[in-house]
Amino acid sequence: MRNTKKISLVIGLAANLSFAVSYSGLADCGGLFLLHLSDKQFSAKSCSIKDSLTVDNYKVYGSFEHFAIQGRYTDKWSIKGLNRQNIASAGFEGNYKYISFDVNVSSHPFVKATLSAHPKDSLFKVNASFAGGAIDMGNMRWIPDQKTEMVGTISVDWVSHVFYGKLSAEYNIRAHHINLSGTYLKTSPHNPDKEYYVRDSAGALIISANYGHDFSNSHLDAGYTFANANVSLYGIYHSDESRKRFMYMPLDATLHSLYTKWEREQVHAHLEYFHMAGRLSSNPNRFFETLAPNRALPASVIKSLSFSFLQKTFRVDADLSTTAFLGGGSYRWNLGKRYVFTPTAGLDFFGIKGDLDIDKRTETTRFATVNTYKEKTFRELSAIGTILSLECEIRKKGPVSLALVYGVSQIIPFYIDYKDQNSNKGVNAGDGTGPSQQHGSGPQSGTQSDKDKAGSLEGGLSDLLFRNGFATHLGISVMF
Amino acid sequence: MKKTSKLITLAIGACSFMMGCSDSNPTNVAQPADTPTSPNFNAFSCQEVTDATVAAQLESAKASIKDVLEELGDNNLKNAQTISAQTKSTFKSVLDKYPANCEAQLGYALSIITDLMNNTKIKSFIDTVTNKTNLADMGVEDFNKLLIAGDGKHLTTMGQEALAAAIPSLDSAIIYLKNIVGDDNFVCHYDLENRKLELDRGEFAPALATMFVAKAVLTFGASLNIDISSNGKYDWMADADEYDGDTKRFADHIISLMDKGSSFTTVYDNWKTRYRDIPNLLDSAIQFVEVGLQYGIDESKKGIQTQLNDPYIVGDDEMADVSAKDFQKAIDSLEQYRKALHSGVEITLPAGSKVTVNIAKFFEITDGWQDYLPYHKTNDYSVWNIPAEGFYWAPQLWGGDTYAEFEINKAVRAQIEKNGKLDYFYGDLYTRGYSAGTAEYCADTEINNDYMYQCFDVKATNCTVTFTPTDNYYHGSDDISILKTLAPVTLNSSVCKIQDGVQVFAIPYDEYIPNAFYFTDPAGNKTISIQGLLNGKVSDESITKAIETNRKAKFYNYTLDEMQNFIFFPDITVGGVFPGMTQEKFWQIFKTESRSSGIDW
Repeated sequence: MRNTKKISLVIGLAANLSFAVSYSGLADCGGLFLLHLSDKQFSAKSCSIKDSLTVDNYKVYGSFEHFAIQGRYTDKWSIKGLNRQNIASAGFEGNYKYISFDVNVSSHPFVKATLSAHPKDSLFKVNASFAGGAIDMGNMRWIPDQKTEMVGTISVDWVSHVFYGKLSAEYNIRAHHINLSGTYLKTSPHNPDKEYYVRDSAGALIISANYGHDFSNSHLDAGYTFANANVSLYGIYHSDESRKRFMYMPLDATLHSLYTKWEREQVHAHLEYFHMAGRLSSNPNRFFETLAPNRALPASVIKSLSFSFLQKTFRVDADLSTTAFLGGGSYRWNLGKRYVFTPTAGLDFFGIKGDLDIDKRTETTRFATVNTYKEKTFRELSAIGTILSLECEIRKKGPVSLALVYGVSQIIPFYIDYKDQNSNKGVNAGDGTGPSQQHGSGPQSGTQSDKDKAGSLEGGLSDLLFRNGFATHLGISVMF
Repeated sequence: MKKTSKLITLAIGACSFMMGCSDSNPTNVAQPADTPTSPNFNAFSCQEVTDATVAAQLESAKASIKDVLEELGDNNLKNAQTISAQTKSTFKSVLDKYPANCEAQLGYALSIITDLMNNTKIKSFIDTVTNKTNLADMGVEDFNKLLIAGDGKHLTTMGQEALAAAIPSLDSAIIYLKNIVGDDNFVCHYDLENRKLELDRGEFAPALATMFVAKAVLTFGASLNIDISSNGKYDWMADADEYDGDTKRFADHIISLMDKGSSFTTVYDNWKTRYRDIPNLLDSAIQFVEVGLQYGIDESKKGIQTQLNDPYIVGDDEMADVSAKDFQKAIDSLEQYRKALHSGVEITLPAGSKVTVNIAKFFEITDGWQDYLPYHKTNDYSVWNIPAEGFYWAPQLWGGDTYAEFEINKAVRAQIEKNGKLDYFYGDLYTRGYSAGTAEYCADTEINNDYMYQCFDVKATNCTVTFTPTDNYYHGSDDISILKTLAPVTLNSSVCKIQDGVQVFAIPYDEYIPNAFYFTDPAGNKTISIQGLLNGKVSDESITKAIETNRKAKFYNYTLDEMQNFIFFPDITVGGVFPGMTQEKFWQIFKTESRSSGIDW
């Protein structure tokens, strides 16, 4: 939950950094360092090189991208997630009088084809895209604290087999620009020849509508996006001909997003709002437990005996709801002539409120005895703050144009209120900082271990967010 | 490590190494529990109940069994006990009329187990332990009161009698369950928490296996002489608690327990046959686990339809818990373990070392385990606190588990004790940054339940330490005068001496270790003392440099390669438990496995 909220802040950060410019040759690196705590860690970094060559109506382009996203959560064990990939892709684009097409192949492997129909004056345009392929979603490892524990390190790979289709229509008349699009995505389950893996079965629908208006010396954009996704994740242990399901997570998520932005020469202003609701549902049926660790054990006498002497299953219901807004502006200076020096300063205000409600049911079966233990956890986070962004671009004009851009962003929280309420351990409250006072309420947690488990976020939550909510990026572009 | 735990750990831990001679002859021989009379009867293959009244009786008892299972699931042992006491008689009356009815047999077997807590001897033992625990919670520290019941019986004896008392009930339950396991068509249905549960041989066989394991454990516990009293008393434990084991009585008793002639850890004569039979009980347990697993494999061949309500489903399908192949692998491994119960079987340790193990031989050791400890000789208590090995002389009065600190604490403790009951005492010497022969000394005490501490500037002159109280103290509202006026303490010449006109102290390389015993080679020649072994080694250059720079010398632990020249075993095969084991193999395995576990040797 906390991470989810932070990720949403990061989306804001990323949006703030995306002063998109289209180059024929571009090298770009960025990094996000959101969390680095003793028990939680999240960071992401990426580098890409893109190049293109345009001859008459044809364009050939290629790119190479490297990215690494990693996260870690430590309790009495650790879960480490890592997605590190090198992706090469190449595409071919053709633009004709009434039709354009674009074919892109990447090394996932993934293929995407887009066909556009438009009149000569491009007043009206219809696009149809189809894509399919396998996307590596990364690796997750469960690592026990002690080497001697019964369950050793379990490494689970996740590859999603995706197909999607998108239809969009654009209408441009005088100063008005209207864009409507609908995307349908589905994944089909596959059973790879691996010992542990995640199999998914998903369907998603994304509908968006955008309106743009050109004023005499400014431009206004506004849009709305609705997305709904249903994903079922299955954790499978595979040995010889046998496949055993040790995890089942049916997830449902809905997103509503609204934005508006206005640009005038050196000034840029925007306001965004989004609301996301997600749900993980438990299923009372056998083999649909959220987690059944006995089935994930490698073959051994202990595993065989465990089904008689100690079987544990976990069923989890979780509800997540997050509402956030981000609004602010930036100003860009254009200095110099041959060498253009363009510093940009941006200041955004954000507000976020989210809660996560978890009901966990643990069933322990020993021979013919069944013990059920229920636990409820409620976590709530509210935060207000700013994101300060500074970016600078140096561009050399001429037949060969060269540009260097470097930007940094930092979250500066004003107020954070965090509550962690467990039906078995009371409430943990975080600190309220800045102009507001502490808003945490209820009894404090009873034991030190509770406090530790509730996260190192407590006691200086704002400081930690400030120290960790940092993003940076560096780009170089060349244009002939 | 603090001296408190160090000494006790050493003394009790050293037990596992000591095998010295002692002329003390235990006079109070513990009384073994009477060997139980095992029931002998036959249960017959399953039989239907035809009488409607009896059938109703059975149904009501079955409903109670469901309650017992639910209570056990919720860990409410007391409730389970109460219900099972009622249902036991109902099942018995059904069995009287239909002795071959399997449901009644199962219910009765289960009732017998859950009703064990109502056994007089077991109940009496539990009540006594509960009372003693309450006494301990109230602050009673007299081990004679804590470990001896009102009628003079030792708690260990009562415990062993309780273990023995459980065996006949277990035997009865085993007979019934064996009969049930023998009928592969017998299944039981229960509704537990909205879940239909079907119990069959796949569950009964492992349950039966646990009963064999339980019987083996009970037999093991009842067979061994675990009497640690000294002439029927536990005063030596009070010495361990109050004086960190630094008394002659404590030392002598530990030595006597570890003596080859000691009855401690021997098997009582009347239990020897049963004790030697433990491998057969474990063998039966493994066999019944295999029967259960095999039943699962056989059931999986018919598909999952017949297993839908089983606690686990066997099959290759995703809608199954475990594959038949996994069960087969487990059976193969269990067969290996089963062989190890009777003859030598090679097993592979985590780092890859191979060891041959014959468990049956372990249960043939009935005259105590002391015979297999490494060659060693114990020292008389009078030299336990004298540094003999693993130390150097330096002018600095170092604290932190040194011999000087130990002596000062002993003397200060004796002074304070004259003035009242000392509930707790510990003193620390702080010397870092102090000039040679001086230090700060702080004494933490609890006298007559009042906590207080007082720090002193101390100075040693000609090996006599004087104490000057400082402003660093706490006493609440209590009179602290006892602490403020400490008389000078003269250190023993083994701890402090004048060398070339300079006062020097014996500084252990690592920390204070009592000189309790030393290892010998098979010919009886000393190899190293425990004091020298645990203090490791320090080079002469390091000592010179340490004295020059007023620091403690850096020490290194002995490596396993060095230790194999110090420690020798009279029978490294431990009576054939590890056939083919040699000294060289032992140390090699130790090295390989230690490296793998990350232990720095």
